[in-house]
Amino acid sequence: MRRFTILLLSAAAAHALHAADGEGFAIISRCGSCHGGSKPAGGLDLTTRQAALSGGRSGPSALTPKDAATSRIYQLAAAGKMPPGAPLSKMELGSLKAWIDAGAEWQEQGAKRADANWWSLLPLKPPLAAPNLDAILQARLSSKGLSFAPAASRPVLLRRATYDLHGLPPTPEEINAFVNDASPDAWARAVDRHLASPRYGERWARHWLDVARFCESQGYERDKVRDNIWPYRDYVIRAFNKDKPYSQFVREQIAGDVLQPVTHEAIAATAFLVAGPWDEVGNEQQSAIMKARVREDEYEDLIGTVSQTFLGLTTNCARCHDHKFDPILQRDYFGMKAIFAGISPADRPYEAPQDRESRLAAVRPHVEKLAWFDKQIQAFDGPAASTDPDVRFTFNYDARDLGAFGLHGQLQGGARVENGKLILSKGSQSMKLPPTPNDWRERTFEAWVKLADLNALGQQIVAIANPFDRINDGLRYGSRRTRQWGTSSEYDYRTEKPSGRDENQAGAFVHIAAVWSADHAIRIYRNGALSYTVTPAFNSGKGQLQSYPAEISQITIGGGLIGEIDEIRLYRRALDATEIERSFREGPMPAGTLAAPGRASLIAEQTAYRMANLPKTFAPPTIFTFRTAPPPPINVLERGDPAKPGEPVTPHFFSLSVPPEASDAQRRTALADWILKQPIAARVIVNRVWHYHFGRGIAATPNDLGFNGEAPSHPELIDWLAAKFIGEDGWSLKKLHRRILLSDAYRQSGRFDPQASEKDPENRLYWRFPAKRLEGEAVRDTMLQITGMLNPEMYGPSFKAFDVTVSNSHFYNLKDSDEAAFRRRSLYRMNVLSARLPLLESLDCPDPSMRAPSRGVTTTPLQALGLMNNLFVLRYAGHLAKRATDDNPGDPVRRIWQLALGRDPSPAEWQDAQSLRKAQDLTSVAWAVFNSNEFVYVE
Amino acid sequence: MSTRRQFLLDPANLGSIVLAWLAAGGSGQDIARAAAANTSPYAPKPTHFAPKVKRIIQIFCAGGVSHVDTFDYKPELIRSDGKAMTGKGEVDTFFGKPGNLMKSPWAFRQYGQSGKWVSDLLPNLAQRVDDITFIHSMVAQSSNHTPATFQMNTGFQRNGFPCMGAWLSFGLGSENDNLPAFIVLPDPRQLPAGGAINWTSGFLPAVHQGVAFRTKGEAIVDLETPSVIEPSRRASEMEFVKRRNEEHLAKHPGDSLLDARIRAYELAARMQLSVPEVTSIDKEPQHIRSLYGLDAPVTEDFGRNCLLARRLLEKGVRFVQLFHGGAFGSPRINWDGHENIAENHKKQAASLDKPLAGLLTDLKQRGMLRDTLVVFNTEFGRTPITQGVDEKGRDHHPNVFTCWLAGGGLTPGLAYGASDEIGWGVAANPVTIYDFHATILHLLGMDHKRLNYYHNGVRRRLTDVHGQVIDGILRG
Repeated sequence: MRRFTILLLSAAAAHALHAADGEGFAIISRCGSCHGGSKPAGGLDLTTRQAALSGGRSGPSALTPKDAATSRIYQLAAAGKMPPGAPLSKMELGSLKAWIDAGAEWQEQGAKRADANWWSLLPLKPPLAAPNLDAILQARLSSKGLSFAPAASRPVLLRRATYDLHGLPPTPEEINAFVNDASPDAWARAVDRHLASPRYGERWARHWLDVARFCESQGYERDKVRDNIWPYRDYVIRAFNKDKPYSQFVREQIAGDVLQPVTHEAIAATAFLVAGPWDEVGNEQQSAIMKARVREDEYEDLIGTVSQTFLGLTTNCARCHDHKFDPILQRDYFGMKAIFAGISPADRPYEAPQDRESRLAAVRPHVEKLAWFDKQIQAFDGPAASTDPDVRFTFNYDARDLGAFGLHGQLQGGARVENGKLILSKGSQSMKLPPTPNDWRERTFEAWVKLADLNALGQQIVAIANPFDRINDGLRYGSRRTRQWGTSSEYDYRTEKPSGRDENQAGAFVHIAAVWSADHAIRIYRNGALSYTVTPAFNSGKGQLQSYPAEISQITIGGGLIGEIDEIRLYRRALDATEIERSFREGPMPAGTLAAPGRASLIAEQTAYRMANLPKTFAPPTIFTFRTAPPPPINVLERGDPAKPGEPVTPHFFSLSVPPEASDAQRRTALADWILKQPIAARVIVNRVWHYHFGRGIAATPNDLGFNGEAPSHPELIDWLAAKFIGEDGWSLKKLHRRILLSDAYRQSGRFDPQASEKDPENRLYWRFPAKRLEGEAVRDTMLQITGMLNPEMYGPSFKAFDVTVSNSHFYNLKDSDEAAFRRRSLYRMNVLSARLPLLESLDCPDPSMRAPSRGVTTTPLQALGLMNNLFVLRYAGHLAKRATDDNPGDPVRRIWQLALGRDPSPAEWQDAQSLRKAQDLTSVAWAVFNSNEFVYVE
Repeated sequence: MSTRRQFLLDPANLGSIVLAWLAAGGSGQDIARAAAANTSPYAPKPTHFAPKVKRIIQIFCAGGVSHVDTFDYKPELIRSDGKAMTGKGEVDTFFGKPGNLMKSPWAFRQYGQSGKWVSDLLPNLAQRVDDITFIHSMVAQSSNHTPATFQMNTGFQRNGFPCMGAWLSFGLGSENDNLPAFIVLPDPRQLPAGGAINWTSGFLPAVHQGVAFRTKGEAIVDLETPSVIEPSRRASEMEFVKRRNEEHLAKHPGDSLLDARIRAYELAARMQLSVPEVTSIDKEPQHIRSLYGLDAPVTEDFGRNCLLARRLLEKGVRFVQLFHGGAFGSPRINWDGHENIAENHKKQAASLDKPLAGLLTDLKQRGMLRDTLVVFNTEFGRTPITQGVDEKGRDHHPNVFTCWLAGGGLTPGLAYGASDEIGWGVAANPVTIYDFHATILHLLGMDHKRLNYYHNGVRRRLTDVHGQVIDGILRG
């Protein structure tokens, strides 16, 4: 009986003290930062109950459960001695005492995590009886004695919706038309009209690009411009505007390059996987293990992005250990890595196979015709070299190749051909060839060169480069040492110190040849004799002979050389010493001896033919996505470190299992299909869309519906929306928007109700419509729009609001102008990591390299300074004054209010503005409106 | 409290005062002092426990300062000069061209009461060794510049994580809301690789972004009212905006954003005054200017930044970060001595040594070193072997290197941890960058495990999931 009583009491006490209890544990768990680790302060470890009970150097009585008074921890805390320098408050002391007196139980981590029954992972349970979303919200409101605010006025509602759907304000005419539309479906039609506008896709693409951490530069050390990823941005705009089913949108971004039939557009979609920063230097470094770590970080970014964007799961947290809070094992992380193991970030030709076929087919007859011209012309050009080069420039007439390929050089930077020589008078001059039509591996580069400066370093004679893999090899004078002939390569990976005789022949031609052969040796010949041989001493593949694939590799003559070249001969094979000697003896073709009538007209004819029939280059366009290869086996890595491989894993994720022999395409397709079957996938997207309309998701962490994410205010609403979305709405985002915008919840006003605020200070039950501050892009775009300056041009390469200087790193000097390109929407401004616009940045445009499922809304003096003093704002205040005067010369102040704020000024405002106008001018009034709270505030 | 003070402290009165004052063209210092409205985004926040220091200045040397040529004296390296390095396991350097051991081109001498060995490369800093706490056992995780830079500044090797300065702005706010809490002074010769990427607030709110001061023109972008705008015009415009905003606020109760924006414009106006005031270092007396090397061309630029840093700290700025060194192009404007360590480091040290020593001297003579933390760090060290046989440069070396701290809460004149006999690996008390960061936060009164921010599923920390305070360097 007695025992029973105690139990009852302690249960009641435990209940009553539960909160204080938790606080007490929270206090003790902070002590672990000193009283923990390998050398806990005073020898007392407070990180586990067992350790705490065994005490420290001051004795075993540190902690006595159920007896705070004799526990030294409590005594010292009560005396203000612990924690040192930061004594506990009275309340905290009370909590600590309560916790010790209640038994000093450590709260187990294990109890504080999500399992497979976590709400977001369970099947959808929509409240089927609910006729619409309002019913769901109202049920919760009325249970608290609350209700929706009265409906917003029509001008307010239209301004709200136009910003939500377009990121721009409605025109005064649109507002008038809507206000005066008496038909019962006026609102529904207004919503439909907005959804049908191309501005909708632009607005929502920007949201998606935030989530996709869309970067138009590579970040890291060089932060090079990435000017071939805009097709992804265009893909996203088009997907929204076409109302591409979200299911397809997901599939294409994961596996668009392998979904049949492959389309141009779907290839662009896959840039999603790699749109974040990419460490070029890290991928090039020598150390294999360091490089592997860079790759592993790339995977973490990829897995995090896929998983958070589509599944609201932070799988990336399971790289080093099982997820601490969600039911994701480290094995699952590496299972997902195995799904993507076949891809590695790279530029790739950006055309679907059928496009490539037709491109080549269209070009082929013209290429044959050009070859016919070449043959005719070469008949004039004299004897072929007996060594039979693949590429041969004699410069006897011009920059045309007499070799097998007929590559026509383009002179750059003032380089010129004169008297049978290529004259390069500055280091910046060169001759570029179009992409080579054949593969190069073993090779010989020969040249007759006259140096103008014997002592200058880095005088490039001829080089071949594969820009996509960032490798190059060349023949160079002043290679690593002055007065030495040698070779060049990226990072000198294949360039050893030269050991030839110092060159001293100025003012005369020297025959020089470099031979790269299959044994990885490089031989340098001078005037027909072997000068020296090197074998690159690198301890990795970068030291070996490199291959240069057709179509993407390019040859450049000169670039650093100051002097003249008489002839260039390039071979796709390693010539031997005898052949080099013969070529040297044969000498270059004499200049000017073969001029013949008819040649010039043939060339003119050929040039005209080329101009009329062929594109400038045969190289296909590229996009930054990835290349694919058969996926290698994947192992779990201990602590996520490639230096510590553990057990092998098969491609899998949760319940998805893909056979290990599956191809890259099969793996990614299987993942996309699996994702779309998960209820959480639909929950994530409806919550995301809700977030952008209401400024906060039903669950406020759109990328994380796991344990650490914020609990949803209305899980039943998420499920209802998700069920409609994948059910009758067929994954249509426009239908989802429509459901939301046509609701009473969306149409209510932002009226403040102190009583409601008391009950629900954060408005999580939606007793009013929450106001939003405009994003940076919307502020800038609004200024463009209302001044009539907006250039509505959609799609295509981004505009570059900067000049670039390169000193290994790319440095971006911002510039601004009112030229047409700069007047495009902010979405089209090139999103370079280190070239962010201060005005947009201060208005919380996120760092592009970070996945930003929601944006911060901060208010800072720098933001105010930007709107006050930025020259863009000042100029556009002037443009607004002018536009308002043009529109309404009699009352331009009224027009400014209409254009910028969507309403007429009150008489008092009008009076005040008139005085400001009189004291200053109308631009002053426009500037003031741009800086007003109302301008950036959407009710 | 006087009536005037009450009046000044009432936030409602501040804006109009500043504006009236702006129009009148007087000095706003007392107004600024009174402007402790707690709506400021920079408002100071409580520490986790009693701090040892209140403010921090970080000198970050781009490129990788060689430990064996500066502060880490290795007699064995002198003896083994020119010999092959043996017994150090697999040698896996950044450029993969290991050469032989090379002694430092500079002689080492002992200085101060601590008898600390310092090379002749840094004769002025050598005089300050008794104020400095050296850590000779730093270990970095990357031998690649930018990831190493990122890790030293953000704890992570990837783009987009918040810098230490952003974390401290977030965690501690500032003592002076007329200036940003986190100010960056890039090397006047060149921005570091990646430019503004290096002072990002990452996923922390934008207000914690580092504000880079420019050396030419206005210190902060858009700080000054453009010269074409008359002050009286701007004043009447600002008053008009204030009237509109107050009317709007009255009609829209219950939204703190609106009030915050009104305050932000007042702060902006005050910042327009306080930034030029703090940056006008010409007011400093000649002996102070000489102390920082402002009278010699080679030290002038960096000296100016060091002096400006001290002035900013005096005004209550929480975190000032100085970069010494730019990007990785050619010619090198940083400590990346691949080709020739003697030439490269000599050139870099010439502009760093005197100004930095001057800064330490000045902080000390003003009593500021007691509650200021000076952090000297770099990307990684440099190999005791040459890069390539018969070459004169040193490659990147994350295995072990030296950083130092100076200021409150530390044992001065201490050399903590040790590299091995040639400076290749750690011999005692390894210190990770996480430990280094945890210690810095500790000195500022912050528990590195509690200073965190939720982002996409993780409560992110400067120290990721690692880090232990280096007890061995703390005072008493």
